[in-house]
Amino acid sequence: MGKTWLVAFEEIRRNAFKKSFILVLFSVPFFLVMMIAPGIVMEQLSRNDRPIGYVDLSGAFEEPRMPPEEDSGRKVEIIPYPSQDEARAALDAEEIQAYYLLQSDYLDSRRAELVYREQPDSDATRHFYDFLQVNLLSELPMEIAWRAADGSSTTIQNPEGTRRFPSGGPTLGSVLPIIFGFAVGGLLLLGAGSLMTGLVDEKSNRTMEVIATSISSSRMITGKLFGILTVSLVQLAFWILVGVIAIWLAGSVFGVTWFQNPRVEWSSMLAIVAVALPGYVFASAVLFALGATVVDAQEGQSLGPLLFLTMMIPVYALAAFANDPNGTLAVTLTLLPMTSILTIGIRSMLTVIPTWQISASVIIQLFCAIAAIWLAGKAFRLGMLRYGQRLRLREILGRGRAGA
Amino acid sequence: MTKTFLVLRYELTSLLRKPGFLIIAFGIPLVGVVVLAGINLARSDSPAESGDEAASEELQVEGFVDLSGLIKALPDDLPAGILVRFASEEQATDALAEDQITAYYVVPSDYVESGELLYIHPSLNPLTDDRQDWIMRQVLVFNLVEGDAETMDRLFNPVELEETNLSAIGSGTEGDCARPGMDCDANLLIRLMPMIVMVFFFIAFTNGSALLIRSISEEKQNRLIEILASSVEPLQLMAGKILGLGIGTLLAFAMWVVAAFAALRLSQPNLPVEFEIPVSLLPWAIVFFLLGFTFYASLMAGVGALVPNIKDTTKVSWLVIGPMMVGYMIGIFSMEQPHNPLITALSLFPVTSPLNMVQRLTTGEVPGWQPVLAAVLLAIAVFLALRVAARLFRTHNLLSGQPFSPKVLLNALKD
Repeated sequence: MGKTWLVAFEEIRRNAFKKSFILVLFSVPFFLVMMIAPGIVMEQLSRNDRPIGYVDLSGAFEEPRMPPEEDSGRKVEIIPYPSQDEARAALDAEEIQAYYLLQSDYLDSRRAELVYREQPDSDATRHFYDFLQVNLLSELPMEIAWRAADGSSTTIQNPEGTRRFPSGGPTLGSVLPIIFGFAVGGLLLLGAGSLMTGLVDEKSNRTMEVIATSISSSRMITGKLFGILTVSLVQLAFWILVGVIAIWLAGSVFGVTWFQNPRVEWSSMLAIVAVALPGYVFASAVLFALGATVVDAQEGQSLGPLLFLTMMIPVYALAAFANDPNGTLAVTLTLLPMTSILTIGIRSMLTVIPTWQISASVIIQLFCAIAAIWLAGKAFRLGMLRYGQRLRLREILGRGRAGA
Repeated sequence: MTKTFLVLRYELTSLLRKPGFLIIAFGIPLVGVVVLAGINLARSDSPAESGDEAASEELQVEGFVDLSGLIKALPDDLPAGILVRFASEEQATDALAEDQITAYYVVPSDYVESGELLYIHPSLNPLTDDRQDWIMRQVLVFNLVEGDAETMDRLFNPVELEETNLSAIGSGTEGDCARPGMDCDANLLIRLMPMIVMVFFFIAFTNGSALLIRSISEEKQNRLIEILASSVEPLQLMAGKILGLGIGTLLAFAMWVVAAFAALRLSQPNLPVEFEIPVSLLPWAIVFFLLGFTFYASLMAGVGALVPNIKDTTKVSWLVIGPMMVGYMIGIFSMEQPHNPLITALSLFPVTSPLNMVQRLTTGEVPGWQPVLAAVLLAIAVFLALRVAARLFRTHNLLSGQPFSPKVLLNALKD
């Protein structure tokens, strides 16, 4: 067991203290900033809190009622002007962002003109519509008129009462499992790829010959898998920390509503972790086996995209999932190794995945992981004897049977 | 010149022989269009598309539990039996379990104050459009205004709006589909066209430059560069590679653009009659594509000469792609206001102008002097980039095997 730990520590040291690890570690925060910061900057730049004016030529709103503030807490003042000239002067002086001209026959025709130099802020125009609505319903009490104007806020809930979310698009809580699935999947590809590259390097510089004389192949594979898994978990923990800080900054500091009070679906997160762990071992062992069969590092690197394409299959099937989140395709991809992580992430947003499917997926991937480790051991032992030559799967399996 | 042409021909023919490139450049767009055409054909044969819309828009029977006591009556135009009242949630749950209803609503006792409405529905899919809570919302408003049809009409149509934009730029109005841009709500293709054009330019620049840096570092790694350096001048080699891979990228780019527009046209067959693409877009797009590609490719070739192996190309590429990414991301987030001061500045600045100017030109109404100024500035930047690349793309750098670092880059620039 001591030698397994030594291999694991060496794998951690080799991966965690190189520049690419630091680059990958900080690439996610960097991309988060690159993706979110321009949005926030543009939002701040396009935000316009200047008042909005109106000229009432119809005389319908002599004692107007003001609607309550927006839910976001933003207050856009509505200013009446006695004439169009005064409203235009205010617009030219940039005292208001736009003004509405309610025509003399407004009550009959509803005709109005919106005058601006730059498209007014959407919150401001919405606020003015609220103003029009509550005043058009002036015969009703303010509370009733406001409810009719503001409408309902619908919350959708499944009959079991286990999941609820507001209508009007996915919430942060519902897309978090997808983001988490992508993060875990990305780490899986990076970790498994790094393991394979390391193996190919050690083979080509003959370090492997020295290692193989002092440790069995199964212990070496276990040690390497444990080491790379530890490194990936550290990366994942760091990314989660950065994600939490980013959500807090966006929601609490910059006041972006979508990021406020996310309801995290912990069961979905746990399901992803449960399938990702054996999935990780499976992918690493498969790439380890491939690394043992290829001749040089460049050839090994070209195998990475295959794994990536396999993992991305659920993304291509997104439309099918949306149509039928419990269909045959969705269930099949939930059960298969490599596709299960993203499938569970995506399906979690669309449905409640039955526990039996998660359990079956974990069991299938455990079996696949064990088989892949066995295959990696065979490939490694044969690969050691076949320097400079590519191994074929048939040879690995054939020799395996002959050996048994 | 002959040797430059030989390098060009070699690069282009080897690129066109790579199965990976052929699949990505031609295979994927073709398959995409064929699949979409198939789906379109299947749709046109389906009952919903052939006029039997009633079948697809059939309303489901739903229930409601009114704890607020607000709902006194249902609108007359609501089909009979489409909404069933239940006295309690238990009764509604039982009806749902027995498939008498497909979903039900709970109107809480404080509905007028809170506006909250609970919709119990078996599907959790937030992307679906098969829910019909609009019926219940209409019923609630109907009861809030005590069933008065005229008041409801005033509420739902408070204004017949006409817009007047006093500024010269961006005089489009909401819902305007005469030109590409986010003002068009009715057609997705027109709405997203500026973004699609920018994304294609971005992909073409990044992929083309990546091909170039990989080609150089591959030849450095397998020592082919040593043979080439003995018979071709470095500048001839660089020019041949940029031109050869540039033509390859342009072919792939054209294929993707044609496929994307064919695909979107198939999914959005009816373009509004008033729609037209700004006439200045095509010539300017060609100018900015050629200048932009030369700018990025020459910089990538320069730094590529300093990279000893393929493994290091990705991180070195970021030196060139990074600044372009800034313009790209800001462009994506500025789709609603393509002529704001920040985007205008980026569309004039040479590093970001190939993306952001094309984005603005697609939307139209860019003052004539702006693309001219941006093209002149970009041409100057291309000249400078070629000089920098020529300084880096020298024999001793091409034959050097030392790892890439900022110090190596600075020393190479000083030489």
